[in-house]
Amino acid sequence: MSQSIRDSLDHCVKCTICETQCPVAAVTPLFPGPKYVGPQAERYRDASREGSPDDSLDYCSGCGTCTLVCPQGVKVAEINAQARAVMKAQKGVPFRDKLISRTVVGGRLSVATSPLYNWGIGVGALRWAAERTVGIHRRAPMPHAARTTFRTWVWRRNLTRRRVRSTHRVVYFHGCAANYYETELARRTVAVLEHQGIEVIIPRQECCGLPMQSNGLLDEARASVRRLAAQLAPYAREGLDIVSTSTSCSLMLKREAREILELEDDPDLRALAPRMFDICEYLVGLYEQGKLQTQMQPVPLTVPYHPPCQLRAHNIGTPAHRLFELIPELRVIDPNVTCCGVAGTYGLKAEKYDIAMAVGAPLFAQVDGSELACCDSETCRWQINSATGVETVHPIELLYRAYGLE
Amino acid sequence: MSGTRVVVIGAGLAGLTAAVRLGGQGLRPTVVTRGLGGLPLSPGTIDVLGYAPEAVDLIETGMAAFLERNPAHPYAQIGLDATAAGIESLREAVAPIEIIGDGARNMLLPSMLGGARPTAYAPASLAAGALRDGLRVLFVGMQALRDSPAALAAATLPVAAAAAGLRDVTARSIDVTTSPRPDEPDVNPVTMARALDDPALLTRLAAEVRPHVLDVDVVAFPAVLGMQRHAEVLADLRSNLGAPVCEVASVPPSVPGIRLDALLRDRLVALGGRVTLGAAAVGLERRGTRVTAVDLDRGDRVVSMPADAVVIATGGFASGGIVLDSHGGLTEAVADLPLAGDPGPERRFGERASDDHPGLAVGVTVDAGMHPLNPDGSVWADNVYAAGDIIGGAVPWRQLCGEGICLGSAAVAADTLVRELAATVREV
Repeated sequence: MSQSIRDSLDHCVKCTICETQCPVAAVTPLFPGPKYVGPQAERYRDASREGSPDDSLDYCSGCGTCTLVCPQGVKVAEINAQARAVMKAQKGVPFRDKLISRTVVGGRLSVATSPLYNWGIGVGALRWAAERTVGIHRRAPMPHAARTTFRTWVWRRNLTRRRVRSTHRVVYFHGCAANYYETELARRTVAVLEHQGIEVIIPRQECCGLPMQSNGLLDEARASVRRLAAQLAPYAREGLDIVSTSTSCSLMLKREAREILELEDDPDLRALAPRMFDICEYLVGLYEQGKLQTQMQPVPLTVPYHPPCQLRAHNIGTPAHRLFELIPELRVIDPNVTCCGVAGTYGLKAEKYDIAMAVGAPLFAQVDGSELACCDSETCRWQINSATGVETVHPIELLYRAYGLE
Repeated sequence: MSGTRVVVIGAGLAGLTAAVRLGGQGLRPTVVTRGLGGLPLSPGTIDVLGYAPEAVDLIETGMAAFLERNPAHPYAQIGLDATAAGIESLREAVAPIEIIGDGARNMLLPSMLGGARPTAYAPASLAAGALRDGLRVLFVGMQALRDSPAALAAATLPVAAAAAGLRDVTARSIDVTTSPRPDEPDVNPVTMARALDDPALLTRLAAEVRPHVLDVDVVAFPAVLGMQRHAEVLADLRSNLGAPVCEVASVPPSVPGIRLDALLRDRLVALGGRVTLGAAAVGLERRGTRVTAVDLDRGDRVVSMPADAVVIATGGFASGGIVLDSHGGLTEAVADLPLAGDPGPERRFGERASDDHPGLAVGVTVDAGMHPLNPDGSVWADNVYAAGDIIGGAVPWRQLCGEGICLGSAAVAADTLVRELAATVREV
């Protein structure tokens, strides 16, 4: 375990605030709470001994709420992430977890076979078979694959040279989900940035390694995030900012890869971290400098907006709220719920699906019946959409409408 | 003033109350905090002055005598009127929960160890247990809750009540087995409170208690009587048992404190304020006599958050507002504000936990507007205010004065801030 994370546990005063805020412990006895499996059990974990004193660790969803609410600065979620990796290494990582953490392979396959894949994820018998054989819950949210990837669009865009040129340049880190599934979000993000007169650079990019990290495959995660960092770091060194629409992936580059994967000294990651921005965080920054286009048309909607746990972990508050205030006639409801439950790949797993749904239930109840819902994280959007049937979009999509870019 | 940027550092009772009071006056403060504040750990009572060091009954009289002996105490600057104003802000913000008390005299509430604890105000569920002559209490212990020793409470309370001057307080106890998780030997009070929102479990609990409700004036439960449905749970239990019901606070996590914390934060958001969790304030940027920005450590980088005014409500030692380093140095954590009251390394702390620890009273000195002061008595910065336990000179755990200081200083800080900000805007 990295020294800074291990040392932080000595700051734990057993105040139990993390226990009371943990969304998983609130709905299931299978997880006793972050303090018990984290700072407490950690003292009894010993590399020389087999096994963890507490297997319930596997039921931590990794949402990070415990670290966020800790008044003493204990890195509870990070302790748990590293301990879980050790536990999985000892017990063996299930095939299912290896499968769902390979986003690039999965993405390429699903796009290449998109008509078949998109049909298949809607067929009950196939989903039932997948649950029985692999352990992916039959009702777990599965995104529809795009016909062509966002990269293909980028390639064509570069050919046509129809793009904004400017001295204000930013790099767009779209991540895997926007490349294979939500390509429209990626295109619209480019449009919103170009609407500000910004030149958008979209370099090739690997998976950030987060799905592997959260499934205990730390070595694979390290290799992946290092490749990505090598792709993006030259821009950061040039002084360019990097924006992302994927909250969890950008958090990897800001902080998590260095902390949880113990890559503190990686020069590429160190160069990247201070230049990484969540897209809404970046746009609010522009607004504060008076550089954001504020001419907007009304978006007469009432939208429940769920700031996901992965965004909150950026420690930036909820910048989308500031942007929504600029959009005429838009009414935003804050469901005031900690987590939607899915936490990346957690809620896909057959044994955890019901827990994830119970965690998200108070959110779903408030989203139900809305015309549109909004959330920054992709897996959360799929979870909310799957649970409620309500179309759920990234905040950028509301800005896109307000700018009249449709 | 809607475009002005006000930053409140800290999300405990002082920070949240200051923020909702600012929000009530048309500002939209941003609360920045490393983690949640201390309220979820607090019993939920509002202590103003409990021991001076003798038990205080009439608060105004007790306070006058106390301040004569302790002229450097924060109340000398804050005053009881400000505390009453702070109480009103709190009452408004947590409205579904009624805060009982008139601030004139202390009530004595039973503790989970059977003590008789003085406090000025309390949520209705706790205040329903206020001790009086001849009161007959039935303590309900829950086997699933480790910290509900009902038999001990029942044995101790009559003695404690008599020592506090009350006559004929009697108590009995029962232990019940109702639990949402029968396999767990040790259920978290928050889990229990959430589970008791379920009418089915509540009915089972009532059925277990009902046969024992004979010749009883109040049935005292551990403070786990519902979370979201707290009011309904109380009403259901009362009618089901046919007797008054109260909650008794125990060790953290404290459900009454969590309820207040959640309501205060909801109120702040409803007023247009924001809470940024996870960001630690690590510096204030000054230009001349004013602060222009707060430096926030977000874990990945330190950013500068522009601010037209700042309330520092980071708490004392326990909350990390004041830090003692391994070389014995004492510093205020955000801006290295001047600290007063340090008796020196040799005399800071006593040997036993229950000793007096002068070091715990170390804090910033403020003027009547809650501006932190330099050692020469000048104002540290024109637009910086302090609220809560960061203000030195008090020993809240011994004097039972913590919440009164938090609320009073929060009210003064917020009101001074609004007044001075308006004056600055006019000047510009």
